[in-house]
Amino acid sequence: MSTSYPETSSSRAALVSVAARTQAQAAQNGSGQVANPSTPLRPVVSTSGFTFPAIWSFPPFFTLQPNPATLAHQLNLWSELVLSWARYERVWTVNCDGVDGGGAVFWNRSILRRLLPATLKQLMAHMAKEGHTIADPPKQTSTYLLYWRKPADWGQAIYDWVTDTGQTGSILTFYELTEGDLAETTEFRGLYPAILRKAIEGLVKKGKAQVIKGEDGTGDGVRFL
Amino acid sequence: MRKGAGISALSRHSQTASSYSTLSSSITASQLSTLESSLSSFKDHLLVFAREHRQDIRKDPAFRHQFQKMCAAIGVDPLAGGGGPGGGGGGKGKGWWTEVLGLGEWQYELAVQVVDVCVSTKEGNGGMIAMPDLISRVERLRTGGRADTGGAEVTEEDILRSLDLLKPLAAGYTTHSIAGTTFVRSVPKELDTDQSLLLVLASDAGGRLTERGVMQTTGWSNVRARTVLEDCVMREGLGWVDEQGDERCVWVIAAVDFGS
Repeated sequence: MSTSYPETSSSRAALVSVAARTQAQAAQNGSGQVANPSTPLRPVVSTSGFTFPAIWSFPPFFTLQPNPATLAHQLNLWSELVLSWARYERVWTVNCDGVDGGGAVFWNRSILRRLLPATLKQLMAHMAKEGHTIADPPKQTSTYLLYWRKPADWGQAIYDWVTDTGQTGSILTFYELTEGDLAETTEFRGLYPAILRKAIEGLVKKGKAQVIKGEDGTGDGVRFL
Repeated sequence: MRKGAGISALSRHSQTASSYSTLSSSITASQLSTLESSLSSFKDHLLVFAREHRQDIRKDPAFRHQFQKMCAAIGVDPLAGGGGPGGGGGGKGKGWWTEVLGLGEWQYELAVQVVDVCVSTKEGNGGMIAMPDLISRVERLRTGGRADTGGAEVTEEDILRSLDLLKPLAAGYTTHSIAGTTFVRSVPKELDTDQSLLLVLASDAGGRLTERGVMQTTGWSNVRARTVLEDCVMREGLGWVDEQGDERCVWVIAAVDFGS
């Protein structure tokens, strides 16, 4: 077959003898010095039903990689994972300095690995560059909003819903929009207020909505056009 | 033969010899033509068989393997064009055999998929991928992500054949057999001896290496062990670092079983 091996036969013999020694040593040391995670690594299903991919059980996944090419790949994997997890669990924010470590995805307790706050901040900054997160409030590195769906998409979803349910022209409060009885069956139920505001701001810019300042602390309202 | 005496015996002898040789050459010719015709009829049958079972050959790896073995036995390369080295029934246009079977196309398609997987995983594994992992990724690619791989199974043999096809492109795909597993290296850079050894150690340890462990098994100095591990991570891109354990570990990702 096409099996090519760059080594000479003597170095191959050396490899084989080392392999044999390794096995002998492993046998001597019992199961080895440090407990390995169970192999093969498998996807893990959380109590809420979200499936963490196998790489989530790979210990180095939680250490930022020094090799730039590997790091870029690692950050992309993390970004994908965080977004799909947040979408599944409907998580809107991440607090990098939170006592919970930012969220369940960032801490794999079964292999005792987590993204440490500094690492998590780097991931959030990377995701911000891709438009998947945004520091909120701006100019700090601790709390971020998660855009597993872009505010503009949320705005469109809200606008479509308002049109479909014949509420064009009427005034709805921000609270009503996402927490009201009518909103319960919509995809934007429970939408985080800061993201909702950005979504509405987008609609206002397009001339599709007007924000009406609330009085006596009733909260702002919005009229869809 | 009775040995005659006298001058007439000589001429009789040469006569006999010549008639024997005529007979023998005619027998040989008839045998050859029988053989040729039976070989060509065998090839015709093989073609009919191939055409009829085209789908099976493409879908079922065991069937494909048997078929390829059969072809090899009679000196027919299903990927080559024309009559092949078997001669006989030749004269058909180049690539005709490949067209009938569609196997060439199948094999090229597989080669493209192998390259696709190797390139798309290169960032993560440094261009070194274990055969089982490669196979399962290729199968997933072929099914468009479906878990059920029905009709899309490929074998190590299929992959190796595809890698052979890539040779003329000088893409530098090589295979390395390490501790019973075949690894495909898609970076045209040879691993030095120390890196190869590290891979042997890694595949024994499920991928996980420590400087101390490497020193113990190889007898290397700590400087050498550290340098080799460092090269594995930084230069080759094969290793991932874990700094949250009791000691710093390097995981050679190609040797880790992700159970896929």
